[in-house]
Parts: sequence; structure tokens; C-alpha cells
Amino acid sequence: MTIYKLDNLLDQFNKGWIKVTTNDGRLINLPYSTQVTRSKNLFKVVDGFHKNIKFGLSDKQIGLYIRKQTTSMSKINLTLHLSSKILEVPKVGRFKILFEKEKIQLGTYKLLIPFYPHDKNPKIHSDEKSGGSRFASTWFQLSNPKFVLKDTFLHLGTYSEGCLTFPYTKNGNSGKNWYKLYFTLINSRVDSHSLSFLNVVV
Amino acid sequence: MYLIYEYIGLIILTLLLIHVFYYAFKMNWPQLYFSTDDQFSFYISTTPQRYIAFRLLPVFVIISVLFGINRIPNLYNAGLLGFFIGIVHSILTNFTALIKIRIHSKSVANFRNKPTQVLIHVVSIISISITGTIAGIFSTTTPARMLIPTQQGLIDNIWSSILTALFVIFFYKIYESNRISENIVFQNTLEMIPVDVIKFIDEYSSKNNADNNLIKAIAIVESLERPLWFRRLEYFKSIFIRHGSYGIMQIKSNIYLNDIESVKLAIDKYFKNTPKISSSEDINKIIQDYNKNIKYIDSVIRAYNHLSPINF
Repeated sequence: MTIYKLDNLLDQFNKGWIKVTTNDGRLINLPYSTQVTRSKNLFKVVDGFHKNIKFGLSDKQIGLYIRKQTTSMSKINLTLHLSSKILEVPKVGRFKILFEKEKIQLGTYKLLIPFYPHDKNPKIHSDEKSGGSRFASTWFQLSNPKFVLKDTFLHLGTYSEGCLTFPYTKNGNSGKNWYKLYFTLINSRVDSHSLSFLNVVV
Repeated sequence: MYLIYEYIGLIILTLLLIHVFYYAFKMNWPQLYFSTDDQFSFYISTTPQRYIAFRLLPVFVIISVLFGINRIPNLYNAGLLGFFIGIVHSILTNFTALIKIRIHSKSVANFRNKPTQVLIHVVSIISISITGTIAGIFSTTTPARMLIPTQQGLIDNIWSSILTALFVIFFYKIYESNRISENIVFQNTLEMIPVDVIKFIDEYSSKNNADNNLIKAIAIVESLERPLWFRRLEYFKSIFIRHGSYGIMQIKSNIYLNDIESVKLAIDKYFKNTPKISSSEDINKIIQDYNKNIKYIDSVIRAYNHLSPINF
């Protein structure tokens, strides 16, 4: 079965997401790089939260956003140092992260494929002229079968409420760095639900 | 009997009103014959009917109405005056633009297809002059006399017209403030490009190690300048004059090229094995051989940034 992916969604208009109608009439959002299989104009999601859901696209949308998956997706491991609060992203860089130490336990987590765009960020976080990123609405959820994790995300923001917050700095490089991290993560897969591992170490 | 100074006054008033009309829309015209940065210009350039209506209709209406109000008695005089106004208006606008193109003025965006750019201005000069003549003649006909009030009739209606004008300004201001963002203009233009062309850009770029978003950004900017209907007109032009710039990428050729052929040639000639783009300066370097115009490059950079973030 040929695998396709959702492509060409990194523009300022789509901001990494496409809204589609499922075959049972619901509207759902799928992120850039979601893998799908195709039967004419009907598609079936191969990975992520919406796995196995079927949806339709118009010919125009297919022409614009559906491309064959020609290369295998990379696998990456992120490392978070609790003491220094540094997030290490291979081939991308090391970034200081905001979080409350007592809320993050040592261990190996997975970062899940995002399944809806968050609208909690202030508008300025999406403004690339002010140090924001068009991908500010994409938050990456942490998962670990051993711990109960309620709504813990890696995201661009200004303060932490239990999340791992990639700090937004007005007129700084936060948007550019967030894009590097976003692009690396969104093009990576460790399984059909997760983008990457996150090792939390001392 | 009309006196010479009355004719001169009428000519000045008509030219002024035509100027005020275009000024009200704040067009970057005549330097560009299509503008790319606001909703109104985008709306106009989408179809030939809208474009022609925007260029010729105001000239026709203003001349007909002003001549009609003043009841110019002689058909010959009215036609001659209309022609004169048309030619002066087009000299002040299109001809100025032609000179600017000739001297490579920085206020004019030089696009790849300069002969077409020149041709548009020449055709505009001729068509506006003809429109002026027809409007002048029309103002002396019975239907025009029935439709257009006399000076006294006009004064009688002025007060009620003021009220109407206030409403028009009110609605225009609402419309003007509803300008769409550049990103929506870029996205709408991208979606107007035929999907087989978009798919070809992606596939052929991938095969030839070219940046697909750069090719799409150029296609967006060229498509804003030459919408699909305009490129179709170029096909008819090619029947008579073969040499020209063709297709969505406006590649110079001695035979007509469709959009896909122009993309293929552009990638083969200019964008094969281009280095990875990580800054707007990279785009500037890559695009130099294709088009050096600063305004053009800036538009491509903005379209590229719309498609994918740069400066990383």
C-alpha cells in the first residue's frame, strides 16, 4: 500500500494544520506530515491520534497537500537535563526550557503526534516579526505509561503551568528556534503514535 | 456658443476628476499595471473584464457625464475634446510609466516580460484615447441627453447627492478597512495556480535538487502579475509574434510555452542544484540570474516566507 503524507502545510495560512471532514461528518485537524493511505478521494490516517479515521479531500486539496511519502522518517531522541533545565535536540541545538522540577520525573517519555492546534497562546507568539512562530499553536504532548501525566506538553510560551515551556522572547530568536524544533520533531517517528523519545536525566 | 476658456476649464475639470477617481483607490498604478498588495487590486487583476472596466469605464463615465451636463452641442467638437482628454490622461499615466521603464526608474517594478509590460501601456494609451472620443460623441446623443441632467438640473440635485455621497464614503471606508492580509493574497494566488502545475513543481524540483518553495514563490509573484487569463492571451499573441516570455515562469522563448513547460525550463536553466535556502540573502543570490529587480526579489522573498519560514 502506497503511503502518502500531508505536505505543503507550512505556510502562514495553514500554519502546519489542515482541517478535514471525516466520513462520519466530523471536522478534525490533522498536522503536517501525517501519513495516510489513499483510495481515490478518500484517505485513511495511518498515524497519530486520529489513526484509522477516514476523511475526504477535494481534487484541489489533493493536488496541493497530498504527496507520496518517498523517504522514511527519521528517529530522534531528545534529552532534558533536570538540573540545568537544558533540552538537547540532536543536530538542532540546546535550549533552556521553563518547567517546575517537581512535576517532571526522571525517565523516558514519548512526544506524541500533535492532534489539534492549541489556541491558548497570545497572538504575538504567532507573529514572526516579533520573535514568534507560525507553529506556536502546535503543542507536543508528553506520554509515559508509568506516570499519570495530565495535559503535559512541550510548547512555545511565556510561563509553565506544569508543561515544558520553550520560552518566547519578544523580538528574539524564540520563533526561529521553535521552528527548528518543530520541523525536526514533526518529521520524526518512533511509532505510529509518537514523534520521538524524551529522556529526562539528572 | 462655447468660448475657448470654457473648453479649457472643462478639460481641466474632467482630467482632475479622472485623477481623483484613481487617487481615491490609492493604486500603485501606473508604475505597475497590476498591484499585488491589497484586496482591491487583487480583485481587479483577477479577470480581464474587471481590469478593462477599471481602466476604461471611469474615463468613459466621467467624460460622458461632464460633457452631457455642459451640453456640448457639436458632435465633432465633443469627440475631439474627448480624444484630447483621453490622450492627455494616458500621457500623464501610461506614457510616464513607459518613460520610467525606459530609464529603468526604481519606482517601476520591471518584470521578466518587459515587452508585454510595454505593450500593456501602449494598448492602454490607444484604448483610453478611443474611449475618450467615444464618450465625447456619446454625450451628444439623445439617450445621453435623456440620462444626464443639465447644469441647472444638476444643481437642483446636488443637495440630495451630497447625502448619497456621504453614504458612499461611509461604505467605502468600511470596505477599505477590510483589507486582507498579504498571506491571504498569496494563498489565494497559490490556489489559483492549476494543481497539475503545483504537483509538477514539487516533483520536478525534487528530481533536480531545486527548492520547490522558491519555484512556487516565483510562480505566485508571476501569477499575481500575469493571472491565468492573461497568460491565455499570451497564447494568442504568440500566433502573431512568436518571441516572448511565456508560461507561469515567464521564460523567454521563440515558441509558445505552457505553464508546465515554463516550469521545466526555469528549473533546468536557473534553479537546478540550488543550495539550501536558509536566509533571504540566499534567495537574493539564487534569483539574480532570473530577475535582478529589487522589488521583484522582495516580492519573491515575501511569498517564499509565506510558504515556509526563512532566516533559519
